[in-house]
Amino acid sequence: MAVHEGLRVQGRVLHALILREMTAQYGGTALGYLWGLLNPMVAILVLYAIFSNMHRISPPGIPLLMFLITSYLTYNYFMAAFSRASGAVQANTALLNYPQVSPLDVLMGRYILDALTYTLVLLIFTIIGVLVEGPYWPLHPGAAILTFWSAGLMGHGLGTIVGTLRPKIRSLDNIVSPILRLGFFISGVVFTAHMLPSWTLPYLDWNPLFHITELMREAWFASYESPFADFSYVGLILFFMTGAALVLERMGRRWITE
Amino acid sequence: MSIELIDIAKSYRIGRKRHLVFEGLNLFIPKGRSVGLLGPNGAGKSTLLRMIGGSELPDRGRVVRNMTVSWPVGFSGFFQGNLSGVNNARFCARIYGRDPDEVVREVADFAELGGFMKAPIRTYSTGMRARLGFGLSMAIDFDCLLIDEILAVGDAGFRQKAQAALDQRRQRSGIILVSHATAPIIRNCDMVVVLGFGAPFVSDDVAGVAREYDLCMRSRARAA
Repeated sequence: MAVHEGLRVQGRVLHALILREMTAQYGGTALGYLWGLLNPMVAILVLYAIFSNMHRISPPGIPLLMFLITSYLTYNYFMAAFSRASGAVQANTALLNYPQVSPLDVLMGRYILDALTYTLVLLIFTIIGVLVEGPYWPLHPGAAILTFWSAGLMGHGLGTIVGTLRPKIRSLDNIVSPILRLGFFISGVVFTAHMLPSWTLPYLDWNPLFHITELMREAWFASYESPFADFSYVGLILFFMTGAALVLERMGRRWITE
Repeated sequence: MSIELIDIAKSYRIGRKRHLVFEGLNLFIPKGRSVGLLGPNGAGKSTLLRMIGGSELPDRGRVVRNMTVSWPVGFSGFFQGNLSGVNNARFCARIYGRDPDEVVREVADFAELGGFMKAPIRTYSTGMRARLGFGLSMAIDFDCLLIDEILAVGDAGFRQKAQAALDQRRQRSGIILVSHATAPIIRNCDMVVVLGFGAPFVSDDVAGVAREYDLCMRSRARAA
């Protein structure tokens, strides 16, 4: 098969998978999709209600709602990408009977749909934040969006690894889900690195998600500077994680049917 | 154009043991032939079909496929249970580059599911699923159609209709038909591969092989 023919089939498969995912996930209606978009808003509003009545948690110069949007939404994207990727292959085993659909296509379809959806969510929430709190547009939009997508890619990579190993290691979910739940508290979602006791930082700066939330703030707010955020560390983790996910996915294809 | 299986090995793990299904399997299927895969239950017919289709990978060896093949048309799920018949047909049309509305229309005409086309597949009976699957495989063109025991389902009316459609389809494309019974293979095939008796046995004398096979199975049943 010629290369361009192969690419055409690949494009068709991805297009069909994305449309199928939209129907399966959001019921195929505009209203369903809109609800999916606004779903994270509920959590953000609850956090906003709680924290605005306590003493402020966002650092000086950073309004609370925008603070929560940049950190919580990024974390939420990671978690959503993780759970969607880890369940992707199991949810779609039926489709793997089609000769041109591979598990990797299913994963790519979900990744593309999630990236488009969450980018749209970020845009909508930013506009809402600006309407409520004033023109806090991102200082470096390019860096902000790259960091945001890194969160999704990381969730997707980790989800692919967990989803592939699940048929082999039955108790994997029991190990991973408590760690991820803890992740909310050690990834700087509701506090910044400056608010933590300094002795914790050498431990917490191993956590790539903490780097991502800190990088997000740095890219967004002129007044914020993180004590440790480093994009090259995030990039390195992403590189190895994506590589491991791709290799494992290829190796794990026969485990699905066993 | 052809399908070629080169030195295929395939095994499954059952508990701690490995169950070997194929070892050093070689098979050449030229374009346009109607091939029957004949064998008792558990001989590896469906596994072979899935490897030919590409939905299952061999442990070792290569499947060289230079024509378009269908998915294995059968009862088992190649449909997404939560989606409706219409949506499943649309998905299938899209990945084969066909106009979704056209395919949905053709499938609805053939499968005669009426209002059920819009209901989720998980509410379908086995027969309804088979009708949808078969209708879908008739709406899309392949060089080779893979069929897994599906001709035996449905009422007599539908079986007749399916057989007529298959006769028409055989004029322009090949088929690979899995069956544990000889009748559908005699009716549809001009080449037969017998599995489940050591090395696969390939022959063009379908009627002769089928007669031998039936005799052999009958004496086995008596011995048991």
